[in-house]
Amino acid sequence: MSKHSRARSTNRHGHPIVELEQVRLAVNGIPVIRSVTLSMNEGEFVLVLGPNGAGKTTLLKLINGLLLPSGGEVRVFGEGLTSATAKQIRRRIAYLPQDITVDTRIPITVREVVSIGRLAHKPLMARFTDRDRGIADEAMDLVGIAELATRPFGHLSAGQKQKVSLARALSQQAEIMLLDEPLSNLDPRAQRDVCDTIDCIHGETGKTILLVTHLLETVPRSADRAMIMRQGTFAGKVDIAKIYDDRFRRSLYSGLAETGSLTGPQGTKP
Amino acid sequence: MIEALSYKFMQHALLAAIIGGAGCGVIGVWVILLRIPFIGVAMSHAAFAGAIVGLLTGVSPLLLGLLACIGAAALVGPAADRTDSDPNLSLGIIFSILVGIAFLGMGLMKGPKSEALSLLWGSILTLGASDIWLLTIATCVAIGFSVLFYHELRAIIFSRLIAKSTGIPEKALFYALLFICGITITLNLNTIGGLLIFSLIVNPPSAAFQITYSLGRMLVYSVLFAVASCLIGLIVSYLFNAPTGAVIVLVSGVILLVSVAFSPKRRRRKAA
Repeated sequence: MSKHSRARSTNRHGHPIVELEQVRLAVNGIPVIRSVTLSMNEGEFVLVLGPNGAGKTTLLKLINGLLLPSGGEVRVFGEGLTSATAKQIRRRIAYLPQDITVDTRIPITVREVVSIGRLAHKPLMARFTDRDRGIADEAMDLVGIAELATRPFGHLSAGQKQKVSLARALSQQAEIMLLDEPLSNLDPRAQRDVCDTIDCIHGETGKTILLVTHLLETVPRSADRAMIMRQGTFAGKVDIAKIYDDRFRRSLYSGLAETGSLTGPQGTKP
Repeated sequence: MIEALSYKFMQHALLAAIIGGAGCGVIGVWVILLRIPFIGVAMSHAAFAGAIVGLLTGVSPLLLGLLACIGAAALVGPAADRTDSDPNLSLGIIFSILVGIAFLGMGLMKGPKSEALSLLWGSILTLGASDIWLLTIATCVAIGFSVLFYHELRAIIFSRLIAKSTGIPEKALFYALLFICGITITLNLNTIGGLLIFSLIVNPPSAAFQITYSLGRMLVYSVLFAVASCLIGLIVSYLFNAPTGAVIVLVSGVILLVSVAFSPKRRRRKAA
């Protein structure tokens, strides 16, 4: 059993690590998140499915303190998220934003991108140690990009870039990973490849993962549960056993087409 | 030319070319990679306008230039933070106002305007020992900042959002960088002039950007290109009795054109 697998076996179904209690957020008076309540246990893998504009990205930003709620409470690692605690909490959460725009000619290699995760644990002006380099190499090994280490980041395909981002998140050694649409802008083969990588990360490390996506064709297979989000709130939950069934997914899609949301006869209140 | 090196003013000019060039080369890398050249342009003209107002009012041009530059950084810095609007419009307005202030100040000056013109075109041959010391301090601050915060700055140029979400104080470092950029620009006003200084901040790192995929090498090449531009420009302008600042900028432009012509990145784009 690898050390990551051991970590998973101790963390699985642990105590609540993310708790949102009737969280609300309004931007310029317009409600973006309306009364969201969510509890995630340590080691749990939760999918949040929903159309564009449902508030999924905002939800992730509220959990890692990039945004603070207008109402309700966000607790992470048992600690209330405030402007005073956000910075420290953020270091323990790896965040993969959606569609970061990086100039393809930017002078940065894959190893250097992965090493950014190590900065979460270092004071300002610190140098990387052999341990940091070892952790970054281990992260690249786990996601299968070790051979790309010295390549310029801009030379990679979209799927490879997403794997580099996952390795960066891993090198941060954060307890929680927040993945924002990690499969968008990828072709179907790359989507499956990245999904497999996410499954591998969850299987090997047992990290708590919250993945939001509007795509249903390809979702990681190791998720513990799935929720539906629309118009800034959870609209129901999806039977995780069915989500990998093509017919069920098609019915979810038709629900989306008919109602503008992913709810329908399949969705049930959380 | 060798004989000229025995003169104090020429020794000062050479030192200024090397030290000032190095400072501009380092700062320029971050300005280019953060994609904030217009902020730099606005700041260099703020320094110029502040110095002109200083000459007009009898207050130290250096002090007012520095204050104006810092003020501009505080004013235009948030424009780069905004993602919901294009900062170029507000920067364009600020830039035009600053140029208006500078030229109004020059127009209101009585008597010879040689000091004001030297701020406009630069006067590298008239620099004194104190100017060289100030340049040295500014360049040391720029290089020191870049070396000490190298990893953090590299994360910020990759993605400010990722840097922030990793716990890096990206906003504080961004504003510190603008502040150091302002100091470097202000103290180089006498060397190359307010109208041309920003070319020296943009051209050498742009040339370095074309020929390497390594940030460390880009910093080194940028410094080398900036220092070479200053030295070659100084020598050529001395030999042909031409305005030094203008020749320095033209040399940096030639280096940029050559690097673009031989850029592996350009060949890669063509192949793609």
